[in-house]
Amino acid sequence: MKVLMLGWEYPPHISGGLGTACHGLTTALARLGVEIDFVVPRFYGDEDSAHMRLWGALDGPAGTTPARGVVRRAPTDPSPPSAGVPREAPRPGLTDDVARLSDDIDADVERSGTEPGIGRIEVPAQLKPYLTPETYAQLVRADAVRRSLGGRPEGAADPTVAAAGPGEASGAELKPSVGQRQASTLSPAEPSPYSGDLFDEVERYARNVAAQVRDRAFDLVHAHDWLTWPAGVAIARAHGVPLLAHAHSLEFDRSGESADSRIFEVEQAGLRAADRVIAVSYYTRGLLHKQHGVPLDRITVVHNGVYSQAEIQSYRDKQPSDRKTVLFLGRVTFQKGPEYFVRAAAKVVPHVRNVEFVVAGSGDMLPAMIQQVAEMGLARYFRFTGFLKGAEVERMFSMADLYVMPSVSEPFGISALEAMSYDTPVIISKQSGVAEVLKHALKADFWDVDYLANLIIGALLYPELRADIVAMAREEVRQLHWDAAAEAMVGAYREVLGARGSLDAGHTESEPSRV
Amino acid sequence: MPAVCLCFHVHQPVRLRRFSYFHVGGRHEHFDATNRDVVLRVSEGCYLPTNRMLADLIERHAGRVRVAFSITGTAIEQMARYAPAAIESFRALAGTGCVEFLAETYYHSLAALYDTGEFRAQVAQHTAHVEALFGRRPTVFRNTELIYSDHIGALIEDMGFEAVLADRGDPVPRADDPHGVYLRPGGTLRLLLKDRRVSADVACRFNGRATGGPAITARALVDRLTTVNGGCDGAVVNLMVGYQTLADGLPQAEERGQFLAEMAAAILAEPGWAFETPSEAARSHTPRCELGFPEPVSCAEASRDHSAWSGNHMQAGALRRLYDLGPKILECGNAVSIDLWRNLQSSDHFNYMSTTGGPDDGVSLAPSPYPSPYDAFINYMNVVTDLSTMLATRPDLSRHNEPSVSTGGTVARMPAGHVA
Repeated sequence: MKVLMLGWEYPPHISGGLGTACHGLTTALARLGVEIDFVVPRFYGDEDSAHMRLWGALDGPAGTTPARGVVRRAPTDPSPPSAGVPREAPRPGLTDDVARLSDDIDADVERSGTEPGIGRIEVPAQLKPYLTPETYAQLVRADAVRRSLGGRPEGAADPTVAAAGPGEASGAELKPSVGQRQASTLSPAEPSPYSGDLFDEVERYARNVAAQVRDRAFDLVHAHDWLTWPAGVAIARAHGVPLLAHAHSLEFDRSGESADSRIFEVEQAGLRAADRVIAVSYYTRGLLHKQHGVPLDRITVVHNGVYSQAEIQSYRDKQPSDRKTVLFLGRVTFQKGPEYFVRAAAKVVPHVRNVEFVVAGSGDMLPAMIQQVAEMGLARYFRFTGFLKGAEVERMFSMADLYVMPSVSEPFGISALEAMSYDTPVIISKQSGVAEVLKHALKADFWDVDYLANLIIGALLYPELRADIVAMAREEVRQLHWDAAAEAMVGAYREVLGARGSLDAGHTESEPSRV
Repeated sequence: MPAVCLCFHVHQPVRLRRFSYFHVGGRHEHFDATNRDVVLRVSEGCYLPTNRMLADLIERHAGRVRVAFSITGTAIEQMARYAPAAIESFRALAGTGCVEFLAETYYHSLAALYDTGEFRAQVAQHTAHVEALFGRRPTVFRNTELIYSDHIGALIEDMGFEAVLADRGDPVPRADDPHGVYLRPGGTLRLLLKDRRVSADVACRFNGRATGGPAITARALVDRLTTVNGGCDGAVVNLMVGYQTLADGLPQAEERGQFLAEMAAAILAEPGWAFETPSEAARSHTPRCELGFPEPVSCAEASRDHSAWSGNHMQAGALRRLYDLGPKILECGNAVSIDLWRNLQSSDHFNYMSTTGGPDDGVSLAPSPYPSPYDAFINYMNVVTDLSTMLATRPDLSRHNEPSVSTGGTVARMPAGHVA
């Protein structure tokens, strides 16, 4: 079975859980013999992708330098070429924009013939997960200002900075004056022509990938989140293969009632065109149904997994002191509920001696959070680390006494599983998908700051809780492997391929009764 | 003459309210307002109708149906407060002369394992209460969760009891048979052992506890009693069953009554078989031999010891902190504090903290009111912290609050849970 996967990020160049999930899922799928072509906006060369073919939309599959793990396919499962499958007629229900894009790409592909579209349209590497149109515009403005001053884009040599996206400064502690420094680290990787519009970028990504895969064969397209769905719709149509739209996060999760209607429409079009929708939780399945009207029987829930202890080099980095560290790690945005973390902290501080609250991450609410902490007189109990990656994240999880994820709306919340795999107890909001699968976690409504604070105090003051919950969680996490997620995913693949077989291959002798 | 000894257990803990850490030191109520609703519901849905049918059964069989009840002090107290008709109904059963009431620890506590003096006090309190209410002093003891050891046997024999109910998971001497009366080594205390299998079958029909197999008919049950368990002369089959139902919607009062009636009729139809109360069984059967319990054994299905209530860190830590408070609580002499401390000893609270799914003992029928064992633990510890804070910071609670008597001097001024 051969799958074309469309994603927006891949470790180590990640800004959220999506890249981690893509890595875990593809690794486990490859173990099941699934061949994967994975396209991200940009390829850096240091990705851990030996199990599949990974390339950047900017570079193209042929243009990639032979970095480690670029091409190494499992020789199993020689799939029949799919390119010759009759193309399906355009389906009703697509919004005009996506339909138009889809037609355009068809035309592009026709015109370009065997010439891959690489280089014809450059896709700048500004396509970052969780961008809003506003932050994207901000990013473009910041770069335009810098270039008008004649300076080289700072940090361009460091792809990790670029991948951090707008407002996601890496490294040292952030001070309240962080706004200045953030601006200076906004760094599109290479000078390239921008239109300055996020939706144009979505379209460019789609056009580029469509051209790049023009002559490639695959059985289905698996597209992760809304930015890749227009590409997925167009490519699946052009190749006559099924589309799986995988919803890790919805605009509603990220922005609540102030959701961007344009993003909502792109989501809607992708979801309608998809043969099957994959949700990371029943929580997200419910949202897909309620917000987008997707019939429940078209949505398959595949819970995210976690790496086993053997795969994670777990290490303890406990401070010798009796300081208690309570960790918030994630984007500092509305969706993640940082303000509830701060408000709970204010209630905890009078009751627990030597407690420290760490906010690791960045995002549009960071300055407001820093200010709020200062105004509440809590500055000496707080540490803002900015965006962390790799070993820093591991160290942070290891040294925390408690991980708190007070998300307002969290499709899954894979970081909770990560924290647990470092033997750190977790408090998760009931408004998270991960709450569906975890028994050995403390749970609170994100808005119930009193109960949240009560749980934090209890977990810190009564040490027996930690001993029990960590032991039980270790066992629980062991059972939440990516292998289980991959098996469920292969089931969904088989299902859509079977359904398509009945439509497109009705002549198959083995299935005479199906037309 | 082979006999069936049917013992029903009635218990309602005084559940704690959601007690936040922010309630500590604030003179807040500790107990939950829903206790009233639960007791009312169970009384009307179970105790009253089932007692009525039992009374009918006793009358119909002219006193040949005989049963025993162990009703905890916390259940009696709450019935008296919220559902006095239920108390009257049990008193009416006592009046038939066919129903025996057993002794318990008043608070359904684990005190036998942690505080001998407190254990004696609670057994004495319960015994006096039962005697006052039902007109007869109990002579048979049933410990919380049937926890029993030689040590506990010696304690209660010393208190004047003639027999005790116990559970024995391990094979017993004499053909792997719990169907005899045994003797405490070196003493006179009689031991009546629970027949686990048949008790589970009865519980399944009586209160809807799933056993995995199909529901057994009264007839099949009696066949099992009389054949598999060897209806030899001198055998006694001890059935120990929780009296309340698992939840609404499970076997209704009529079904329970009908099952009891069928079972009673079938047993009494067997030649030579009879019902006996525990004290009757203890007196009418010659003890087979001595039977030692060097370690405590409970009715928990899985581990058979008391680890279901004290096996994890949270349970052990909570028990330790609770019993550490004992001397100071009793010294302060304040009735409210002592009552809270004793109610905190109910095994249910520790049951709720179990991380292994809780004990499957045929008794703990009520589901945990907490979303997780961790929430249960934090809530419980907040109340314990409040109790120790009351002791430390409110000498006005003490009846010995003269300046010369220090009640708070040795206790930290901070909440007990505060990290030092």
